[in-house]
Amino acid sequence: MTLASPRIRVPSTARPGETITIRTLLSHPMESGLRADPTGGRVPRRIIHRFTCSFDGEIVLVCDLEPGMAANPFFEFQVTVERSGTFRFVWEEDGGDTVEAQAAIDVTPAP
Amino acid sequence: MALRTPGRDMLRNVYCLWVSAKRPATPLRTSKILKCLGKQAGFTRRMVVLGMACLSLPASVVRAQNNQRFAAELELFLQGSPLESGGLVVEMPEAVESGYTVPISVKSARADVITSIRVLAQANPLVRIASLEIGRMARPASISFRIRLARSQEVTVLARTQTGRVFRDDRRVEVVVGGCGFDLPVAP
Repeated sequence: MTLASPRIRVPSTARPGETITIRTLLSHPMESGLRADPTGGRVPRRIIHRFTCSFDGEIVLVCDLEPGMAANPFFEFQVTVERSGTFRFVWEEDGGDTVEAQAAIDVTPAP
Repeated sequence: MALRTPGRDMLRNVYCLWVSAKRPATPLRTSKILKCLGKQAGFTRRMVVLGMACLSLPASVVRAQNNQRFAAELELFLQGSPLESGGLVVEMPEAVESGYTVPISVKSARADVITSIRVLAQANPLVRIASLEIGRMARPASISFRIRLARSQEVTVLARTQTGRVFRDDRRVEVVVGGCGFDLPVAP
């Protein structure tokens, strides 16, 4: 099963020094590895174990997720931007699959 | 993907069973309850019985195991630093119907620069929920996400500042129906 494409919301423009809100959502069941399947066995663990947000290569936020994170991992966080650049978001799944998304932001001073 | 609300269905079902149990005309047997509950959640009767057997482990044993796991996690993050309170604002609902998705929001309350955050659920089978590293641009920290809770419990958030101070904040959350995905014990 391939990973779903993530949904991200990043403002396209901002003023230098402005604090913006970023929202990201990825559809994923986050199988905890503690769930029984209908035959009485164990559904193997399969979660997004790491989410990374970076800005032109600089780390903004890294989260190591455990099975206690809810399905469809969602993050909302605030970031202060000083210059234009590109946010890059990476989700890493158990087994090595990754999915990523990018969003550019144009930071210009008020006219 | 269609979102299900197992909690609400289960609650309604339990209520129906309770109502029917009060009618003398329809004697209610345990097997009937199990079958009905199982059908609702898509489990076989055997699994429901097994699940109930797991739940009936002496509560004190389970609590002791959880306390031990939580203490170990706490020590792992502290690395000997003393705990302080007040540097964090954690927002969570006081009561939730389903532990399947519980929103949590963490903000830093003071000017201290928080560099890492850890979220622990004291009574979950896996105590650690998330570890966050906060980059320069994401400070002061203000982060929201969603977690799973197996039952009513205290959620602990720990935050380490650039200068090595560790803040702690706890939130009590009442959970009506525990989060899906915690049926089985933690694999050895």
